[in-house]
Amino acid sequence: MAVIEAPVKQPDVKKTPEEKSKKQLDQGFLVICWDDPVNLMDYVTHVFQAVFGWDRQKAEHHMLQVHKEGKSVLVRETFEKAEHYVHQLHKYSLQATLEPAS
Amino acid sequence: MKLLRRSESEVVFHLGKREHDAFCKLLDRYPMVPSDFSPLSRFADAEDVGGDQELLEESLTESKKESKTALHAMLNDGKHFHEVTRGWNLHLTPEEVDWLLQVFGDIRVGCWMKLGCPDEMKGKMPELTADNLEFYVAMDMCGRLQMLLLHSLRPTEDSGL
Repeated sequence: MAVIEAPVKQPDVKKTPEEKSKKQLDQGFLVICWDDPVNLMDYVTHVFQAVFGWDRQKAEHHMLQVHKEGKSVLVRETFEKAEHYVHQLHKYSLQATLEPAS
Repeated sequence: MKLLRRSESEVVFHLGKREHDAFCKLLDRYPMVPSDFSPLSRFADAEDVGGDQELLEESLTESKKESKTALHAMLNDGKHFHEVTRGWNLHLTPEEVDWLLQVFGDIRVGCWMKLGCPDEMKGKMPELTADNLEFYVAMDMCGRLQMLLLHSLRPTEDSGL
């Protein structure tokens, strides 16, 4: 019978934003919104306007890009700002992530 | 639910008695979407964003908890809902309309998840049963209410209501 040893719990060592790789920090992070089949197009447009302060035309352009191409790069920002935007988009239940710009 | 009037500072809707009941019961479902429904990142090094992911989820959970409290207040404080002869008038600021859009967005997406994340464009139809039909109805209701709320924020457009 195989003996499974209990896993050794390692202390949580998480990188702070300051410790993220210099390359990533230099190049910034992209905030990407991904397509989903549930959120209404008008709603997504509204969310982009509310979160980024864009006019309707720009918001609609990105909404259509999400709809037709499956995703849209919304902004390129520092990690902290990108994280803030992703958090805001998640509050509206949109599928959004931040990705290294490299 | 029908838009009665709007100004820069206030939007007023009328709800019949049954609509008011349905509105309240729909909002009872909030929140439905789990805080980990979307990753912070799909491609970034997990070690780089792991701690941030946890913080994000905690923050989202806290934010929804506050929203739930605010919803309870809205439904019961006597300031938002005014009883009229044939139902209720709902008074909202534009900021509250935006917040309700978030709330209905959560319920709509949550119902969609309960239905197995159907995607009709890709031929993945919802498998409706007597047990999950309520989610389909609630999802549809949320969508209709979202459209109504969105129209109320656009004074220059014909709302068609």
